[in-house]
Amino acid sequence: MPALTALIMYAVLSGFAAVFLYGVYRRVRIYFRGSPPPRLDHITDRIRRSVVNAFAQKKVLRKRFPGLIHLLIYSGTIVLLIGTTLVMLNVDFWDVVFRREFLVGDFYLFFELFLDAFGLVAMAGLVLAIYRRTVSRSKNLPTTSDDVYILATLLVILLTGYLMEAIRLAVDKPPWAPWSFVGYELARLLQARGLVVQLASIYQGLWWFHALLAFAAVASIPYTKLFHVITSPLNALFVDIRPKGQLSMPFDLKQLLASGNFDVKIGAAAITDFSWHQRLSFDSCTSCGRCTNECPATAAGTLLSPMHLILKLRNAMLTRQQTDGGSAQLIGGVVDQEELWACTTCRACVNECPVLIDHIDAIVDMRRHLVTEGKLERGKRDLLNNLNNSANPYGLPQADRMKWAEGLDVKTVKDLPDFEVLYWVGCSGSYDPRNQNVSKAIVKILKAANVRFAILGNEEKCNCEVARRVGEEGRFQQSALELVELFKKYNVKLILTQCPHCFNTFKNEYPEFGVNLQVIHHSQFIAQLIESGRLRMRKVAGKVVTFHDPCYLGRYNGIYASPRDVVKSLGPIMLKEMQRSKDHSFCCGAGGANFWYDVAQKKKVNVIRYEEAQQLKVDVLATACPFCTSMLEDAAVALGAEQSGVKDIAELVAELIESS
Amino acid sequence: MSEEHKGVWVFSDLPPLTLELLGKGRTLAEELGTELTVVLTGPNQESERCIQHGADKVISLEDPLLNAFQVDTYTDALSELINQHKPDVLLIGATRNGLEFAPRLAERIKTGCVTEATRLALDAEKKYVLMDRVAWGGNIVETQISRAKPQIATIPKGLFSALPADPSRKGEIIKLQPKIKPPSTKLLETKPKTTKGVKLADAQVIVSFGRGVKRKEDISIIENFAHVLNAAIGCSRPIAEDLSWLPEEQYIGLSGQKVSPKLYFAFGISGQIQHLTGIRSSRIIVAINNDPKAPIFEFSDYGLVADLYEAIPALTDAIKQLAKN
Amino acid sequence: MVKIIVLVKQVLQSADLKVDKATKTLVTQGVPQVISETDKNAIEEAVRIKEKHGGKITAISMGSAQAKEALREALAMGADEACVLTDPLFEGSDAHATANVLAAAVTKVVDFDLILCGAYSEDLFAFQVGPRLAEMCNLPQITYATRITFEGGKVTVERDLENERQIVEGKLPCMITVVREINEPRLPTLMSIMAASKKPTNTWTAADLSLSPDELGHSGALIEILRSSISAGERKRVLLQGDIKETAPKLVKALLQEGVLKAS
Repeated sequence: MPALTALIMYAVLSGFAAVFLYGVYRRVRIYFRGSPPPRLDHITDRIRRSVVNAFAQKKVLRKRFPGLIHLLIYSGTIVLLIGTTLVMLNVDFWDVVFRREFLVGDFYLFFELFLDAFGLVAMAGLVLAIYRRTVSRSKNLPTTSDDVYILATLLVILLTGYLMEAIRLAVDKPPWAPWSFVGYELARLLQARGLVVQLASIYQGLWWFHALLAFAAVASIPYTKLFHVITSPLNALFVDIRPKGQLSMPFDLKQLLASGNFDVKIGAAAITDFSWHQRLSFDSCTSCGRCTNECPATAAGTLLSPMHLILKLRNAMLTRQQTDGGSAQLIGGVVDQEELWACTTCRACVNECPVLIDHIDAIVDMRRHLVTEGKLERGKRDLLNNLNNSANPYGLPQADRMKWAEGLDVKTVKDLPDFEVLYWVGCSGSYDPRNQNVSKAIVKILKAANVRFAILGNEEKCNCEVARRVGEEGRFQQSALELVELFKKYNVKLILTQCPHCFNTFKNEYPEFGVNLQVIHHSQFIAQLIESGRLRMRKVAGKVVTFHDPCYLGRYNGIYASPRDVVKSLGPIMLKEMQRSKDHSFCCGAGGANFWYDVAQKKKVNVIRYEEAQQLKVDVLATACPFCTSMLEDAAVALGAEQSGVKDIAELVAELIESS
Repeated sequence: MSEEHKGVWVFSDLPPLTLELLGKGRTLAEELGTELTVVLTGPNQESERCIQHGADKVISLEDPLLNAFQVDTYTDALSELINQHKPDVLLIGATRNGLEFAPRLAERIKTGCVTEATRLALDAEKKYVLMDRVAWGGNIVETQISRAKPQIATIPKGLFSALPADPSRKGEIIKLQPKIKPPSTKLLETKPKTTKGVKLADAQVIVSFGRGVKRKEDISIIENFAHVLNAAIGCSRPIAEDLSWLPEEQYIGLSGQKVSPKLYFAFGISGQIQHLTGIRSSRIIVAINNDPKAPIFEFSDYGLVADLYEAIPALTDAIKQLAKN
Repeated sequence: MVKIIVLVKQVLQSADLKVDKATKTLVTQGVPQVISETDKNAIEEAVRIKEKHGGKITAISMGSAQAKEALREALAMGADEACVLTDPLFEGSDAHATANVLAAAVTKVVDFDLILCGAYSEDLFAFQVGPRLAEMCNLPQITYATRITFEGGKVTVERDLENERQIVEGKLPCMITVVREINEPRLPTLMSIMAASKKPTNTWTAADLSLSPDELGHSGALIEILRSSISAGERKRVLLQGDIKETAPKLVKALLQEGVLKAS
């Protein structure tokens, strides 16, 4: 290349760098408008999370084929980028300043080999990617002009790079040529065809073309989907560090009560109401579609598609909203209310997202705004009114809370002050006749195992977890403060609950209210009792059972083994797994308060799930959550099934207990 | 003061109800040994008919300001009449008009009024009318008396029965012209209500059904039964949501309508909690289900373990027999 | 600008009332106190009017000291100030005595264009306080409102009667009673209720209202309750099984005795 090439190139590079920096600035400034600075608590956890996810691609690889594609492209491109930078440093800096090169000797040979190999890796990835987007056509994978541009550009950069290398090797014939094995083979091919001289004449042009294309590609990062290479590692760094089952806490009611000042903005109405890191997360979406493909609300044909929701928020953030400072109202504009209400908070989306976007966080923040406005339709109003007036979501009398236990000789905490286990029955277990059966079964089991347990009886009040999910944060916190006092009053150490929602809230959300309880779900407790031999059970054979993993027990809290252990302990049972099981479990549709109001669905979530179970031709559809039980029973009725086959694992065990 | 008050008066803006009030009024008047008077307004006054159905006296008001019911004009008219004639007892028909009129009238003449009495009886000394009414969600029946006279009660349609017409009865018709000020409000428009069906939220009797009804065509059986009782029709969620046999406004339950009728029939409804929360304010719940273990029976006042396809004809017959007797 | 007074009654949640079988009395302990539904409609309507035309809303409630909570909810929904009318002398009031107290309060507030309240209360369903109060204050009454609009100092109200709908025009000041159909009341969040305690709330006693004892409570009532009998308690759970030809007439007879079935 001519003498001043390097200088010109750097000048041009600076131009592109400016474009790049401006693009980043323009895109990123909206994050900061009106939001508090990002948090960096638990810094080592954050760094680890970023390294594991962004660099080691942990979540991307959950889907094997697309994960592989991305790994190939990503690793190849990174290596080449670093390699090219080293070359530039070597030639234009090190050599100039120190009058020697560092890319020398054996190191250099392996360097060349490495780069060529990874060029192939990247190309393989690109080819597979093109295949996936044209021939294979994955579900819910939008292919936009951005995708075409990126894939084509990278491919052309690589191809021209190899071509240039081949030409150089053919002309210069350096001794180490075979180490750049791809270029070397290509050079030999060109020589065989006698094309070297012609190509050498266009070498300069090719060089500039390649350089400009590469610079343009980098400069285009903040203007295209490529921006995720910056945002996704950062997102993994800045996403809140919280237990999975804990929603964000927009205010501390205790503090507000003490200060007497309730003038707090709650919820997200406009983009600028989201925190800095939430806005960053919207901008990290790569339109991979994995969240939407897992979402039960999408499968049911509601308006909710998690990916599209995040993209809408991102677009609102970046486009017109930039001009009005991001203050335009989102809901009723780009976002339809019904999208927000259709979410069951099952966490399949967050679980799957390779860049760690928390869709539920954003949805709940928007729900909080709607609740603050107060214009809710009947089902949600009734729910909140019932919680306010009757301390349970059914609106049934507080005085009836212990009715299910009549005649069972169940002791309250007043009768038995030195209880070991507080059996938290929960609202469903107390009031819903279907789930009262489960409560009775649990009592039978506890008594058979001689567990020293007590219930709160008529002092038990809803923990209003559902209020938090629907967006009425104040009511939830009020209940938490009350219950924490109640637990302290009775010196509660260990809580046993049959409801995964209660379980999750006590375990993961209550520590923020100043109490650290040991919380155990009935599936775990029963499994322990069986394992330790405290329960004598008959065995039953010849049954085919499948277990439906409740979202709040499985995906949220990682409890998959205990309920299965309980089922297996029933006897020689054939345990079949649905395809969507364990952390891929398909929601029953009750979560996110959906149980309490109507969501317009083309095909109901619970019906989809029940049909999935039916396909396995099982005798029993085992559950471990009162709401899953209720929803699946409902589905059975909707489908006209004679017998639903739905049984809680406690019921299955209680049936087999030998009274000693 | 009570010595001066004599006579039982009745008034209603609904002629058939007036006749029913005359029926009870006749009994009271006889027990008290006084006259029964009816106040009639508007054109087409059926004075003779009222006399035949028990009135001793008809006070006929012909002022055109009284042609259509309006609370100001009627309060002016009746309060003047009452101040002049001092009746002992006044029964007013508990139509919506009656319910807004009676208390205003009572306040103008400073007397007590019992809303929607369910029973009227005289006390032992025949000084007071003991007026019963239901309160506190149907849990309590209060027996009330008015400390001042006239003792006013508003009476709903169907509580009492009109006496059979007696053409031989004679009575007096008096035309009076109390001073009436023009009304304080102006009636711009009236629109007759087109929807025959009673809104579930306000319905007094509801006939509801669930999955026990096997075919969509069978809904007509439910409808006929509802017609016999003049009831509104409701259903459980699967009927509206999953089968779409009825519109969503008719499903009663957790995320649907909440109802508080006097009488609720549940045909072929198992009694899941979602449905029960919608009906718990009903005064009397009757469940018909062929499964004796259906949860709804725990929640009902009366339960019939039967196939609804057999129960409905049997109930219809029994009710029709009742009307005959 | 419309100055509105809204009357709010705090009632026991009827559906939760139970009967103590032993003492044959009503168990009120633990039964939640709520704003009567139609009064919520009245508050909501007042707030909507204020949102559209501007103005001020004063919420008034006569009751125990707990009525303050009901008023906080009204304030959270959008009322500007609240007045609790509470005094042991008010106990035992009938509709007339209640109207007496409310009339005194309304006169004390002095300046208003409109009084809004529910057509009836959810505990007693008496339909009396509104009309009595209107009579005492010499105000026109427009009842069973399902729609209210303002224009040039006049109010147009759509009314719901059994067989017809009326559109009626009235002048201000007047009283309008509303039915449930008029709107869906907004639900204030806990936070907004807490924040509402900052809005001005007055507490007035009989003395503040210049009322003498003989106008109030038992003494001032025109209706006397001679006795109360418990008519129902738990669900009866009478189960009829057997030949439908026998059980059906039995059921019908029982319903007749309950007074819920009329031989039409």
